[in-house]
Amino acid sequence: MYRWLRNTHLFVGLFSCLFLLMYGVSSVQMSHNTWFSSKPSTTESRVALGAGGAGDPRALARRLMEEHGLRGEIQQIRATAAGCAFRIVRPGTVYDIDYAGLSGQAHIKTHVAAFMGMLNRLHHIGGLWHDFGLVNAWAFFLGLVSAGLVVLGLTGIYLWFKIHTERLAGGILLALSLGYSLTLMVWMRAVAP
Amino acid sequence: MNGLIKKLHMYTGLLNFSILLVFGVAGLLAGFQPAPEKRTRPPLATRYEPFAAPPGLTDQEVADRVYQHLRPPLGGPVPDFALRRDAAQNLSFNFYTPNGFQRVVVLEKESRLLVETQPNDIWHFFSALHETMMRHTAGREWPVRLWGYYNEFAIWSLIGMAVSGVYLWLSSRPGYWPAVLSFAAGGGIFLLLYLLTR
Repeated sequence: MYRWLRNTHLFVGLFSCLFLLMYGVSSVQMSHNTWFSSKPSTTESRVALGAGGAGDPRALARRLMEEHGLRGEIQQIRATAAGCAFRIVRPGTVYDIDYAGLSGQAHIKTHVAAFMGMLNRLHHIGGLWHDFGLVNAWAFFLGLVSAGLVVLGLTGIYLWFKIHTERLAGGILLALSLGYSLTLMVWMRAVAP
Repeated sequence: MNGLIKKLHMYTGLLNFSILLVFGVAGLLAGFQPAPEKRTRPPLATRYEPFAAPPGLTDQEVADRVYQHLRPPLGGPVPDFALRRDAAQNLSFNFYTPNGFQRVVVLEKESRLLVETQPNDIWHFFSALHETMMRHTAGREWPVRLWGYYNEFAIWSLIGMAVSGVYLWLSSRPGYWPAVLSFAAGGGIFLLLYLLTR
């Protein structure tokens, strides 16, 4: 049993390592956002899509994806005075597209996040319902690694408890941690929103 | 050295046991959350409160007055980027707490506030706890601030445990092939997804 759980702790921890580091480092970025520059780099371009397409922004977006290599999910479709506007978004990259119905020109602003901005976006992925398959893959591994985190916690407690010489010191630390966190949780949960 | 790192790894884990479970639950909830149109939440509880906004105040000053008036438990003042005007040009904003949120609409012409309260179920409570960072908790009540400190400690601990875990593996059983395979599989999937997404 001990050997099996020790190996489970090791394998789950090693498998999850880079994912957990990503969540940890991006949390530091969010908690101390002044430490890092998260300003994306922006470039602009124009693409001729032909006039009269404002009535079907999704078809325009699909053309941009198929013919011009834009990748991501279509979001925030809206009508504008000149035609329509929408976004194509994937983690770390946002294409802001403004289409003019008369000229048939699409003005594309591409915002690409730096490394820390990219980690921030990856941290916020959730759900398996996205049109962009890679986001679903990230969400799946988020779920897997989260389950792994629970496994790491529980197996870690068992592994500590089996080291008899560490029971006193570890027990004091665990009691302090549980006392602190459970008190705060119960205290906050008891308050009406 | 190995013994010291092992002790630190173990003690850090014990100090963070409950918050790691909170992170795990929050991650499971986020990973498998339904699409926005399929999400169901309890209905909002609505009430009105008398409130007269003095003339000549900025939106931020009005929001601060509303905060002083309502004093939402565990909530904090509203930052300026969170202030909105609705379709009828009424000022609106939310007070977030780990237990849910209050959506406030300032009905200036009627001299009252529309307050809609959305409680969190226990799972969303855990999710909100994992988002309660130290920098969001300034000026808020003690339990929220203390949780913010704990969250900060846990973030650094998570990084430390990931790094020390790899060190402990490499210093004890570096050639153990199932461990190598686990590390390569997880790292490979991460890097592949990262490169494809980039």
